[in-house]
Amino acid sequence: MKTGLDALFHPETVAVVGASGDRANLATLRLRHLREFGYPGRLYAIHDTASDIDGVPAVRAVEDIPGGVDYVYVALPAAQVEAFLARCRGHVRFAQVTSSGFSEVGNRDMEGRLVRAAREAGIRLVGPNCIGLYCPKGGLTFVDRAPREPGRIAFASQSGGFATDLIRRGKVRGLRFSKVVSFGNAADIALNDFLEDFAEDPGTEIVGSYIERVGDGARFLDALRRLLPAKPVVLIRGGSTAQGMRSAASHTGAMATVERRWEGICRQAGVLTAETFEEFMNVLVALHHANGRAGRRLLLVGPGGGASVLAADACDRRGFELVPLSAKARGALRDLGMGAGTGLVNPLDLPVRAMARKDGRVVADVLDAVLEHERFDIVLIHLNLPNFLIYMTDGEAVVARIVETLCTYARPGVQLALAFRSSGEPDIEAMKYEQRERATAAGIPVFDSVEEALGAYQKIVDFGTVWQERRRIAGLLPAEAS
Amino acid sequence: MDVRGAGQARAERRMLESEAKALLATFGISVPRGISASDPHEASARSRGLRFPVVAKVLSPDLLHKTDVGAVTLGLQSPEMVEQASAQMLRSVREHLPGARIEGVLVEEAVPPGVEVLVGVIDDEVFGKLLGFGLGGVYAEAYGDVGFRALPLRPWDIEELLEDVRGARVLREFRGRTPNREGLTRLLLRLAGADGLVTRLGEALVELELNPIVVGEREVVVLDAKLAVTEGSLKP
Repeated sequence: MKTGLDALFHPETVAVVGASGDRANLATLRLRHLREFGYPGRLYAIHDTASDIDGVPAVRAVEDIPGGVDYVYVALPAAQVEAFLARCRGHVRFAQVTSSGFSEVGNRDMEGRLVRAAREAGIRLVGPNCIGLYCPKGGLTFVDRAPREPGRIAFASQSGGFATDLIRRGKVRGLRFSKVVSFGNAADIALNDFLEDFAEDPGTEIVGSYIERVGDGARFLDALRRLLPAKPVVLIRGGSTAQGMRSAASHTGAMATVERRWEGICRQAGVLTAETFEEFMNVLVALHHANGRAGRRLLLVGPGGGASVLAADACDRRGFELVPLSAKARGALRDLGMGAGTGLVNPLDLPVRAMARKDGRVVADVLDAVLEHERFDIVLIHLNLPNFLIYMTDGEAVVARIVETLCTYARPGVQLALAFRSSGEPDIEAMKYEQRERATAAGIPVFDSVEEALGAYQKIVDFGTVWQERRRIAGLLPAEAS
Repeated sequence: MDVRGAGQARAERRMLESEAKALLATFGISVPRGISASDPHEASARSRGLRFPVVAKVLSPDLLHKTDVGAVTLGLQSPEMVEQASAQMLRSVREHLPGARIEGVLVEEAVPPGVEVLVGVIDDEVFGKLLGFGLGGVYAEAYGDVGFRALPLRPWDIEELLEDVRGARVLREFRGRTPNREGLTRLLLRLAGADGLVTRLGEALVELELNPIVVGEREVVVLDAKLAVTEGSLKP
């Protein structure tokens, strides 16, 4: 289904202005990114004299491009942008203006003139003061080495840096995106426009956003209502912007900090929220690799010792139930040879040597032994990677086999997740990187610690509970009351 | 706190406590049974029909913190005490705030103890009218245990709001007694639900704060109400 922003994310013709023939700058960089990414449409550089820039055909002006341009990437000094847009009249659908020096530094009038110029030229404006668009299906990118495969997550951000980090760090964690847009000052096209697009886009199933400021609150909440609960929304808010009150009762107003108001709004909207980049990414990782129920009954499998004790404490804090293993499960585990020197409780402690049995494949039998007799929502397996190298001769191969076994392990309805602990040393990091890539390719989310995994799943389980409760309450009401 | 143009853009009228409570009552929100009177003698006479002990308060649009200026007296056991206390309070108010407009005295039946909560409305520049709900009544600001929701409230919003506060347990059980949580929910719906008081007043509402509301085992009663509306709306 086509939305108003379809030609923005899937342009047939793209032009980049601001490239210099001799010096590398943002525009030339962007041209290179688009070519390397394999943008399939017609790509042009706009330049006064050159006939091509790094192999991309160049024209003097936008009107020289036959058939018009869907998307112009503008990397000009702020003072030149208005005039450029005026010259584009009738030839351009969307312009993304990266230039800074507008309202973010107080030049509201200049930004207002920019918006008027765009309107008069019939152009929709993204930015100014932003970085770019990433849409694998459309062939667009603003980050090099970005994944070519499209995914199901759409992300809209006021911060270009955040968007860049999310693509690059997300790549390593298995995150794949349908669309990522850095929209900067949002002088014209703003967050709400993107949220509405994400709601209509069948390719987007998960939505994330970094927000500092919202213009139209009613439209924002409406967009969220259209997305939720079918498409989970994860928000992270940068709280630097003031948000006033037109009026306030005395004590209520004194307690109404911006944080508290936003917290209430977010809880009411039923979104997932994160306070740090890492939390945000962990929640997306958990959502993206959802392969089970994500409820509170949790089986923790780990190396034993203090780490397991702390992990169990974390489960308690976060509302997860470490359901004890039934007698049948314990019996089955003992039959496997587990039990001597390992506690047959939940958390299930499997020292490295125990996990290494059957060349690392015993983990499937262990899971079968438990899951055959007990219902669990989440199985979190915690591997302390350095231990495998310290206590075995072929530890790396054993880890690989454990991961391989888990990649093919199927137990419908159970969410399988991994936590890889690393010492940070290069060989361990390399092992972590390789095994994480294999696991996420098989749809298993990998976290850097048990704590981070639990933090993400707690939010997701709470999200599920909230919406389930709302459905229940709504079900008890007559139809017209909702 | 960033409050822009409060009362500047439009002239506002601060309702008397008696008027505010009468308005709440028309929406099915419980207020203490009481009478208002123009002077101490009338207060005494009209208080005879009430169940004692009673509370007496000075009625004035200019008193924001009645206790500070001696405008509230608790535990009055007889109509005679009502008259004495009323006269004393009027003297006290005139002394502390010579310019205050004094409209009379409000005498109310005492309300049994319960969990005290604060409810108020703010107008956020992005999200419009929000309802704030906090535990602690007059101590709410000190506890800071408060949640906000955008109007109009749907039934599950209230459920979630009541669970949001850190002290949510007191609303389930307080000193071996069960506060009337359904009554509180009904009150909040009547105040801030789809067809509630705040929605009906619309642009006429400038300020609203109910503090404290006492959530007892049976009754949920608004002990004090501050309401300001735009000039010309809702003439008494």
